[in-house]
Amino acid sequence: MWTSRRRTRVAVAVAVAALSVAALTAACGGAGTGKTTAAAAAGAESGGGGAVLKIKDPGNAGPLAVAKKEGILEKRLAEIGAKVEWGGSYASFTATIDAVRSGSINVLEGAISPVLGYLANSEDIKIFAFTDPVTDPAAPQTDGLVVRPDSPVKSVKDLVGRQVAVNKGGRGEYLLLLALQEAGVPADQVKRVYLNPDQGASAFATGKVDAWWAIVRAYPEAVAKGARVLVHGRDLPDKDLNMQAARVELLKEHPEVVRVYLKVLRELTAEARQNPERFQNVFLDQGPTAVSGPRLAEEVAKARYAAVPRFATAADGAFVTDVAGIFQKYGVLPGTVNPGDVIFDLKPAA
Amino acid sequence: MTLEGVAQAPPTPTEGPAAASPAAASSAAAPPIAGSPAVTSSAAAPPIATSPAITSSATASPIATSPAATPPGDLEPPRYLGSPRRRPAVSTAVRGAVPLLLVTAWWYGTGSGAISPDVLAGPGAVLGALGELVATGQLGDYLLASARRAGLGVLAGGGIGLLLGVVAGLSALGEELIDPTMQMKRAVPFLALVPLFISWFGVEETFKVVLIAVAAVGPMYAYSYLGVRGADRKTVEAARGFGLTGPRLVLGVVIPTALPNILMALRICLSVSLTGLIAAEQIGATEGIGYLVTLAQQYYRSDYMVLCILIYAVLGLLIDLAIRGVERLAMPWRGHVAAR
Repeated sequence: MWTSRRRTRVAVAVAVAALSVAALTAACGGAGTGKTTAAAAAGAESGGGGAVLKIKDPGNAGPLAVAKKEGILEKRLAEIGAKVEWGGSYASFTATIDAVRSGSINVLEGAISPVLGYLANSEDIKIFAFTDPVTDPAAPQTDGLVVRPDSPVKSVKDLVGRQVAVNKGGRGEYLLLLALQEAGVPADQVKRVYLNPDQGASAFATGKVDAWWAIVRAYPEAVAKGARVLVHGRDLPDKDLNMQAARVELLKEHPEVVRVYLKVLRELTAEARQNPERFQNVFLDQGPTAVSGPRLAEEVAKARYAAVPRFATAADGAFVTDVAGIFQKYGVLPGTVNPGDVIFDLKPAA
Repeated sequence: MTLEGVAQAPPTPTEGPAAASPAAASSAAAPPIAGSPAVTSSAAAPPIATSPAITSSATASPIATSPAATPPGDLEPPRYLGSPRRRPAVSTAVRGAVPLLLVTAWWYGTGSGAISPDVLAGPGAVLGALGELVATGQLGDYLLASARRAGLGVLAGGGIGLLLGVVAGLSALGEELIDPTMQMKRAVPFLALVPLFISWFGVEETFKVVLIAVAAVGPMYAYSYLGVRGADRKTVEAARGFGLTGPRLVLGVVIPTALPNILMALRICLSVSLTGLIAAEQIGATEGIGYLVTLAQQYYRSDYMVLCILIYAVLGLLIDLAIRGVERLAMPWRGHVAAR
């Protein structure tokens, strides 16, 4: 029986459903339209005709965050007829690599070690810039092999038979292998537990692993919680430099675009050394990405000593060979990496 | 469903004794029953004599025993089958009790120092994190971005699942064509498809919506198939008798009958979409509640990690409330016929 009351009820239900669908589609349509307008204005002048620099989300700190906030790259690239697209962020380096492979990102920043696996298997990307390591003893440490404060482990040699958390095929694993080699401990006597930095943090905090090579943001976090450091990356002959890589087609077809990117990055990094406060909490003062108190002071100190990235040269092949050599020796990396294949000489002739 | 079973049960038992007792009286073939009265016969051979009434009604429902016990002719109004309506205040209080207990335990555990803040952030820190998110306007943006992805994904995936489920439920050919593939698809964890989808759809919105849609197809298909298969044949035949055919029959009779299942599927789809959001927003996102989980991990903020759990919990509650509301609107008859 179709009573009028039921009919209204059904009508209301249908209307509610239809409205929510309409709202969703409208909202989605609105999100996509913003991108195209900014690019249309730029014409093809020289070098960068229509090229798009795709960079992952720079987060809330650092030179690229400032560049994004102030539209510096947009302005400089428009001069040569190119544009920039800021992408999203990625939970892990593997995910970032996936994005590079699919072309959603074409410029990538990181250490040599994590990209080696990708470089060994594909010719998609090449390294065009390196950042020399910070050697000033006054600069804050950025990584370290940490143990819990009450741990009986006093040196790298004591790690025999114990579990150490490292990020697989990344800087943590490289530095651990290097430290073991330096201390004369066979690598197979220490159990490497592969954990991403965020997983490593919980495993370490709850004592599920005996030691952990904490890198980047994880390191100050661990030290703040009282962890004892056995050795720093800086104490070792660390050849794992920070590098900038780009997709090959971008480097070959629009080298000028990548040069402008590196130039801006160099200028901003240099500025961050003078005025580091401006490069912290760029977008937000609050929330999960904001830093404050001692963490802020530490980040500021790091930026003060930060090295400026430079063009990669053929001589830098030695760094790649060294890191690849360690990985290959301990079976982390199956094949060899020919430095000539992975370094791109972007330096202008002049 | 259960109600129909109960309603259909009485006719058989009432016929049972009526048919059985004359047979027992007249025929001497059945030895134990032959000369004995009904009482002894029931004791001697319960399965044959009294059983059709008592055993079958006892298994069907205890209520049905009353007509058998009272002599025929003395009719009694049937007892109301549904449970009495609970007072709303009591119901709400009971509903809220367990979550409140959990929150109190959390509060006490972290406040007294029994739980270290490294293991579980306290309510104060979590509220602070919530305040920060609200103050910067991120919470609203994140919720909106995720709602958009989840909504589109569930709409697309649920729509496809519903269509396939109805087709498979209605036609044998449809079932043969669709069901094996869907059962295979159901066994493939959608998280296993992430790398493949990245190479097919990139890392942008399309990828995220498709991932959620794929996750939502499975439950919606399974439940709507079940619902359509469960549609009462008599009702469908009656509707056919009134001249309903094709799409009108499906929309007017079959789908409304399957609606409880479809709404249950929608609940599950929406919850699954939250899982999908966490997986999808780890990759190439700058906002969203799944992205917030990633951020909390990357920046080692345990207060935000707990906040994420709370946000998901509240969303689960809201989804349930919304579906309950739709159930009331779309199925007003259910309160009168459902067993509970």
